[in-house]
Amino acid sequence: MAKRKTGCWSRRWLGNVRAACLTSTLIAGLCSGQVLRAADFALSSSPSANTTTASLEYQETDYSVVNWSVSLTTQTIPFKKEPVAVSGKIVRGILNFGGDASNSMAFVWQRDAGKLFLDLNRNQDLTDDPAGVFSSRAAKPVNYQTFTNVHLPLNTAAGKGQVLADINFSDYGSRPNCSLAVRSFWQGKVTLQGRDWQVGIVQKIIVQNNLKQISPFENGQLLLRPWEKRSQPFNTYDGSFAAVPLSRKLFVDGHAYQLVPVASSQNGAARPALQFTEQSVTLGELKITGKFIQRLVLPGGPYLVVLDQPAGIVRIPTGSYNQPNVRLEQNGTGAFCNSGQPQAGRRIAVDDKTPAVLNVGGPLTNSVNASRHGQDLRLDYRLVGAGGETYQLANQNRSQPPEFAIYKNDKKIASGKFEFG
Amino acid sequence: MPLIAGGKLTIVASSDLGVLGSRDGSPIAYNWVLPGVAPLLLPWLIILGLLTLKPNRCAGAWLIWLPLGCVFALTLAPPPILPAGTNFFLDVIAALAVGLAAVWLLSNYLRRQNQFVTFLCVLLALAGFSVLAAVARQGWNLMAIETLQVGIVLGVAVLASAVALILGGLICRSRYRPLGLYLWLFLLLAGVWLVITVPFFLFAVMASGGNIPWSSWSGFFIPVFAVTTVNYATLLPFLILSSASPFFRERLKALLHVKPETPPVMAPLPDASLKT
Repeated sequence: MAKRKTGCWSRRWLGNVRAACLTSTLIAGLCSGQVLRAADFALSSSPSANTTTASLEYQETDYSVVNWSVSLTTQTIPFKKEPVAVSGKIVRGILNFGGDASNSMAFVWQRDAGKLFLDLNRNQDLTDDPAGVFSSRAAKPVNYQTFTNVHLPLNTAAGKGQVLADINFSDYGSRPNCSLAVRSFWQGKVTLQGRDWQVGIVQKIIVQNNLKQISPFENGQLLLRPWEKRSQPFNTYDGSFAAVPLSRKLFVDGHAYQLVPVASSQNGAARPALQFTEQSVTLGELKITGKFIQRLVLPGGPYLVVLDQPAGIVRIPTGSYNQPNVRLEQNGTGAFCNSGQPQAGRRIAVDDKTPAVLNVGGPLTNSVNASRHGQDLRLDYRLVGAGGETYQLANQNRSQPPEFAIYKNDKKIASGKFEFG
Repeated sequence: MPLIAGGKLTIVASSDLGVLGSRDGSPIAYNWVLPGVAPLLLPWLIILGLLTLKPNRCAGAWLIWLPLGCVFALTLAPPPILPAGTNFFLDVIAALAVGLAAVWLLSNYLRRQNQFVTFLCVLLALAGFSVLAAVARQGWNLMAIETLQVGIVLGVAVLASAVALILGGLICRSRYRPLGLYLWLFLLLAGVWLVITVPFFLFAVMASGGNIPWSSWSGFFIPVFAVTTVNYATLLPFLILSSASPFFRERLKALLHVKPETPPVMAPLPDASLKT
C-alpha cells in the first residue's frame, strides 16, 4: 500500500498564544474491491467485437513513478564469491523482491566506499556481474546512499522482465533499509469511443512473503490519461490521479469496461497488454456542485469511475461509492484531495431514479481551525473545497506559507504566518 | 507576540490560490477566554507563601525576587536564537527557576546531617515546586504533548541541578569559594547531562557499527552543551544572590555542608619583653 505523508500549515505563538499544526496524513489506499490479483491476469486473450486491446511497451523515464520499500535480509557470513573487501562497514544480504527465491537478489553494500554490488544473475557470485556494480551518487552522507540507473531483472508469470530503479540504502541504526524509486512502467495507446488514451501499468514488484503467486503487475496502478498528456511526468503520489488503482471494472469517458490485463510472452520476455471490453450497465445521475475539477475518481463502487472535467451532471453506474479523489486545475494552479481510507457512513449512493449530489470541488477557501491548548491558542490551516473536503496545493511554495490575521471589533490585533510541520 | 485580548475574535487565513479561490478565507469566529489569573500567579503565590515561613521573615529573604525576576524576564523576552520547536524550553526554565527559589527559601528545612538525605530533600523540593509551576503554565493540561515535552526536559534538568548542587558542595566543602563553586557547578551540570544522554548516543554508535560521522558527534555534543549552558544560566542568578547576600550565602553554605571559614589562627606572640 502506498503511503504518502503531507504536512499542513500552522502557527505557534510564545507566551499566551501557541499555534501548532495538525499533520494531515493522506494515505493512497487501494480500493477494497476490484483490485486485481495475480490470478486475475489472463494468459491468453479471446477478443470479441467490442473489445479493444492495448499492447504495452516497456518505458523508462528520468523521474520516479513510484517508490517501494524493499524487504532485505542481512547476513554476516560472506557469499562464496565477493568483491575485494575494503575498509569500513560492509552490509551484505538478500533483497527480497518477491515471495519466491527466484526474484531474490544477493547484494553487498560497501558503505564507506559508496559501492553496491548486485548479484544480477543470481548465482551467489558477486564478482561476475559487471553490470551489477554501482557507485553512490554522492560521497556523503555514508548513512544514506543512492545508486542510480539499476536495471533489475525479474522473473514473472509472463516471462522475463525488468525494472529500472534508483536504489536507496540507508543505515542509521540497528538495521539497514532499502527502497526503490522506480523509473519504469508499461504503457500503450488505446482508442475508446474515438478518443485516444495513454494506458499503462505501474508495476508493484514487491509482494509480501506470504503470497505464493507473483506477478509484476499485482496490486499495480493503472495509468490512464488522455493521449495528449503522455509526455507529462507523473507519479502515483503527485495528486494528479493519472494513475489509479488497477481495477477489472472501469468506467471512463461515459462508458463502462471490463478491463483484463493480458500477460503474454515474446521470445521469453514479458509483453503485457490491456483488454477493454465495453459493458452495458445501468446508469444514474450524479450532480457535482464544485468547479475546476480536472479529474474525479470514485473508488469502492461497482466500477472504478474516472471522470475528466465532468459537467455539472454526469451519468455513472448505479451503486454505492467511497468518497472521491479529486484533482482541481485551472490556469496552471492545481490542488488535490485524496480521500484516503473509505469512511463508513460517508458513501455516495447513485441510483437510476433520483440524482445524487456530490459536493466536491472548487472554489477553494482558506480556512483555519482554532483550538485552545492550555494557555495557548492553536491555529491550524486548512484548504477546504465546496463540500468541506480538505485539499492540498499541488505545488505549494514553502517560502510563501499561508498567513493569518486576528481581529477584534474589526481591529487587527495580531497576524503572522503558519509554520509547516 | 502575546495575545492579551480576550473576547470574540475573528480569524482570517489567507494564501494565494490563483483562480481556484479567493486569497482571503472566510472569517472564523472564536471566543478566546484569557487564561485564568490563578495559574499565572501560582508561582508567585508559592514564593510569597514560602516567604511567610518563620526562617524567611526578614528583609534579606525578599531578595529572592531578584533572580526569579531575572529568569522570568528572560523567558518573556527570549533571545532570537532558539531553534524552531524548542520554545518549550522557556517553560522549563521558568519552572526550574521557581523550584530553585523554593529550595533557596526552604534550605533550612532541607538540610540534613546525611548528605544523601539532603540530596533527596533538595531533589524532592526542586521537583515538586518545578512541576507545580510547569503544570500551572501549561494550564493543567496534563495530557498535552507540550506538557510531556516540558515534563521530560524539566525532569532531567531538576535531577542535574540537584546532583550538581550536592556534588559541588562536596567538592567545595572545605572552603567556600564562590568562583570555584560556580565553575564546579558548570562542570558538574555538563557531566550529569552527559551521563544521562550519552547512553542513547552510545547505543546509536554501537548500532551503526562504530562508524559515526563527525556531523553526528557535533549534532549530539553541541545540543548537550547548549542545554547545559541554559541550565547553568537558570542557576547562576541564584548563585550570584548567594554570593551577594549574607542571608542566602549562609543558607547555601549550610545546605551544601560547606564548613564555615575559620578565623585565621592567631599565633601567640612570643613572650618577649620589650626593652626600651
